[in-house]
Amino acid sequence: MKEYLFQRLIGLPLVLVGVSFVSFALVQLVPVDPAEVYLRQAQVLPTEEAIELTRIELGLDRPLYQQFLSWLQGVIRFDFGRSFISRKPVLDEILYYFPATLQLTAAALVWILLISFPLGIFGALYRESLFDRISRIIAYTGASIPNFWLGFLLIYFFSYKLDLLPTMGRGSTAHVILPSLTLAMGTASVYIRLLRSSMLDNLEKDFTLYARARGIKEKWIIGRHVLKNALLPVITALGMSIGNLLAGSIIVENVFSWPGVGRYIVEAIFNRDYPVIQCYVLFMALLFLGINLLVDITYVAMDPRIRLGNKK
Amino acid sequence: MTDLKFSFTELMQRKPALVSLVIILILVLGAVCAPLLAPHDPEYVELGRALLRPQTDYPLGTDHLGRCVFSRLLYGSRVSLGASSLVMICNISISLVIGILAGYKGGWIDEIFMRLGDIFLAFPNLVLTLVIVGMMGPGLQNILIAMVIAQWAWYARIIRGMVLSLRESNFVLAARVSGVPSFHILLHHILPNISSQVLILATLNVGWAILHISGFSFLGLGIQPPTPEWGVMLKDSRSYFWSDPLLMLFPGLMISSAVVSFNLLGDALKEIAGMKGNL
Repeated sequence: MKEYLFQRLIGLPLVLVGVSFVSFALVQLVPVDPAEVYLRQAQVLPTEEAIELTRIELGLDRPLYQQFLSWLQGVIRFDFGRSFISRKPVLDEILYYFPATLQLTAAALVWILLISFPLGIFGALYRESLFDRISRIIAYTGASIPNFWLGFLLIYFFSYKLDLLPTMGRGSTAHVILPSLTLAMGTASVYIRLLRSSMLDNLEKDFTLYARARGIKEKWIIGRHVLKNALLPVITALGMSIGNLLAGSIIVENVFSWPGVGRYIVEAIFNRDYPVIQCYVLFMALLFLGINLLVDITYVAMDPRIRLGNKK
Repeated sequence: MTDLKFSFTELMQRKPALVSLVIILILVLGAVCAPLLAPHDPEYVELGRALLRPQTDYPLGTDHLGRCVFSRLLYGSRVSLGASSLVMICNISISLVIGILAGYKGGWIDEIFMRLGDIFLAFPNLVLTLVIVGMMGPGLQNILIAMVIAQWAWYARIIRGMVLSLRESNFVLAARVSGVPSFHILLHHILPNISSQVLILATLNVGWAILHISGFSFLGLGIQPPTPEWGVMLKDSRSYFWSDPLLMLFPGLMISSAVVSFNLLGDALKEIAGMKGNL
């Protein structure tokens, strides 16, 4: 694992350059001329002359590698260009919407813990009981229900039928409950199953058997030995889910009109606001990379078997 | 291929797998026989009959344009299932080629594909797909390309791992020593031995694809109206959510049941193959 981490760190610069290149090169996929789009957004008639001038202004007339290098130079100085629509610096726009998405993700994490821990742990301890069966059904449906549909189901029951919670927008704490639950459900189902199988694995391990043979109380065995070992893979996997939750908020934010990055990016896509899309991709990738690296490091630091493994 | 046959009888003994197989069969049958089963043309607009409740003529009622919901669901299963199967086939075959090449040949080929894979794996999956579709424009073909670009690295890596462990196994080594050509080894020794695992990947991939394709259609970036597709139907009925919540119920149920079935089937296969953890 340590070697793996070392390799990861060595490979990181290459990945960073690659990730930046992919984010940059995405515009090459556009079927139309970005200069023309730029002019149309500015409500200027895209005559041939105007398009030519804009191409020069946006640097699109230069060879690809030069465009990439100058884009990269900008990125290093946190300059991602300006939005075609608002004409404001792109990064500022994204950072403006980001806290809302972060709040949603954080709340979703809380839901994930609240749902998956009790269901996964008690499902394993009372294997094949009614509780276990129900929690497995929840795990399966949770993973398979499209979250945009789940969102509407929740709105229907909790906002419309029961009139308990607001339907959309952001504001009070009550506003966060439904969107974050919707966002959490898919990941929570994965963890119910992961935790359950991880618990079952550890319940059958030699050290558990040995502890039982020594007559140690079952509660103590489960708390001190089984749970501790079962949680390790789950906690690290949970870290990696943060990136996916941030990404998954795209759909949930659109269902609940949550004013976060996800809703902003879909708008940008419809407006063909290319600098925004480029910046968003790179931003998410860097965030994702950073979180995963952090998780790997924590994993190494937390597990003494790995931490001390190479010191022989 | 003997292990596949063997697992089929085992599969039939598992209740969840059996149920999901039946559901998948019904959905596929419905998709294939849609022209025979559908009571109406799924795209025929009749505003005078908009938003009808379920009745004998229209088993599941009509949508905001007076189109028959039941017929649209049937034809929608053609698009949803067809598109996701297509995504799965492209995804798996490309990853299979890359994974086998990288795993078996090793060396610089392996290095190039895996470093390239690192770059693509650095993006959250949904983000990459969304942005590629966003750049190329909506439509089935673009979704297909985007999903393959966003997913190949993941599957190629898993398949590479399978091949890698087989490459050093005794029977492959024996074949290599006796001078069997690489192509023959790949076709007759490696491929049959990873087939059941690849089948599991493929099954789970279909469920994933159904979810994502309908999600993109829901956002307006996927399959475009008036084509009947489950995600499109959900998007269409969104504005009538308060007055006619039933309109949203049916397409959602279809998506969920299809995805549940594929996931259950994939998991059952996984159990039979004796695999643990997340594949």
